[in-house]
Amino acid sequence: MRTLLRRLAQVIVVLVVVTFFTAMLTDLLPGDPATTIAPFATEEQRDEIREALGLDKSLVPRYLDWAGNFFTGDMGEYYAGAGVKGDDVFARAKDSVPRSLLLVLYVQVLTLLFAIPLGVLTAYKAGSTFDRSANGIVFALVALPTFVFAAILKFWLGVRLDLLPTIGYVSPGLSLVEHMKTMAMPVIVITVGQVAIYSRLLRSDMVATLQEDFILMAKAKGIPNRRILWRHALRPSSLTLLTVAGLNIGALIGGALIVERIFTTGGLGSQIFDAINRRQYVPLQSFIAIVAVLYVAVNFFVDILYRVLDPRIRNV
Amino acid sequence: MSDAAAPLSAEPVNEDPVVYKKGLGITAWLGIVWLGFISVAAILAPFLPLDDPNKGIRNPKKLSYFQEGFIFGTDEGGRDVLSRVINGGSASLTIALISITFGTLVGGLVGLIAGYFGGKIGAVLSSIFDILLAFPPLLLALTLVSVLSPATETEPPTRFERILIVALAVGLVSIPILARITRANTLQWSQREFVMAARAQGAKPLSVMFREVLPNVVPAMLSIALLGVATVIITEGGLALFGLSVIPPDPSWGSMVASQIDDLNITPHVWIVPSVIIFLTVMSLNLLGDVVRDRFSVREAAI
Repeated sequence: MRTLLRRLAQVIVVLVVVTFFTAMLTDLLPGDPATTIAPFATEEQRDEIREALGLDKSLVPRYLDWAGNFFTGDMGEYYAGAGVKGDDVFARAKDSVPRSLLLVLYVQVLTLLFAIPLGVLTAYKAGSTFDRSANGIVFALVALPTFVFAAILKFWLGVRLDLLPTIGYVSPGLSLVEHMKTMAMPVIVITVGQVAIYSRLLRSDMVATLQEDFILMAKAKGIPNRRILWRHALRPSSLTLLTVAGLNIGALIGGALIVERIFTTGGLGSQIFDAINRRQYVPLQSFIAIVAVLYVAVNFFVDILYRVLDPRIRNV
Repeated sequence: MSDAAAPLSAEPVNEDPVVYKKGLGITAWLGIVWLGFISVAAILAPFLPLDDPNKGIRNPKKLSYFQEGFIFGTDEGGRDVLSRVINGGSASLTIALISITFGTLVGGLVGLIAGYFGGKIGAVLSSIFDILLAFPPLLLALTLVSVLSPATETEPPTRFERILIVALAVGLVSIPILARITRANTLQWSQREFVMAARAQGAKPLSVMFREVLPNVVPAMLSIALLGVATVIITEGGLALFGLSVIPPDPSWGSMVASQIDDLNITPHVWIVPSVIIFLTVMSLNLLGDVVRDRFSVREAAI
């Protein structure tokens, strides 16, 4: 319990630092931020932008204002030109966050579904042709960047064979089949890379576990191989997997952003791309903060899960 | 993120006599040859008899492979793809080299200090890495480039400014990773007898750190740096997809793929050629990183 509170305090510190950094992003823009945001505006309009951004205030009140607005869902508007009211940033965020979360969730579930059997099997048959060819394929897959793999699938399945839509998103409430079609390629692209990493990790841990005395003991007792693999060996071998799963979330989110940009799913990656392209720094700030906050939250969650699963570190 | 430090044991890191295989093996040599080939091509790019990579508009446009003397054809703007992929290699590899040098120097130094001195300094430095790691790497690089070097109409950044900023942003992202690995390895080596002996003889901390500990930590840093170069090449592509690598029409490997990503069917060779080159380069670097790791039996340090 005490460690939990300490972790919580840590997380809050990290959250403050991360949001402080994003809140101050407009200061990093070279020259006058108001000019960069609205290049063709008049001086009065720029003054309005400066006031909206709070550029006239000192750091701490400005941060508190920004954070207060951010966490209550007031994220400002897109800059649409002089005097015109642009799209509401929060409305877009509310629309795009579930898309990104669904993508990451599908990927994580499918990854475990494929990586665990593959890892167990290659460990059991370590050194066999099956194991060696799996190793070779994994080595090649690790060298295949997400965006290259995405381009290949998009070109082959989407354009040449015309099997799947190359862009867009359909919500599951609207049509489940169409939803799965639009999500198929983004999910496959990230999952394949993840399965490659996870199955190898599980394999190496599993190979070590299978040489331990308690496995020999289990074999001597005549317990069938299948039971030894799944009941005796898997659990002690799966802890590295969890640690890496935690560390890997950053890469996973990066992959998701790239894939969302390539397949234009309207998720956070698409929004960030759009904001950068249209030089919409106010929405960009919010989207970056959203991704960072989600990342910190998920990391915290994985850390807690890790403690629940592994009694050895529960009280560290 | 909890910081799983390497166990502080007085055990020697590895006392098994390492049996070296003779030679590097054919695949490693192929990797070295490939990397040498693309490096030479990238360095010599300005002196090779190639078209200006940005010079376009030829009739007919969109040539495919081996048409009219263009080995890799031309792109939708009629620009020579061979020239673009070689000049793009200069850009991608320059970014990789600058960012990894920056990341290794800063990350290595910080990791060495954190690992060798430990205690409060170590704790403070570790929590700084943790905060840097609180951003997903791609997001941090993307954020830094987009605000430090925005392509505004009024003052667009020059080609070299952009390359430098991309390299530094990506390098900054690699610092905490390199620092952690260096720190974990430094912790192990600092416990060894010869280090204690040097200390007992009254050697100054800095001299012990650089002359006794550092040479032993270098292999681990080297193997991670090789993998790091591969990661930077991939990250450059990720940034290019968001319009945050070199400024068009300048070529880089990533931006050549990115420029085609919304319509892969117009001139498929324009993205296939750099994709294959990226793949081979990353694979070669991974291979050599593994070789270095096995050679010096670098342990996968606690990350």
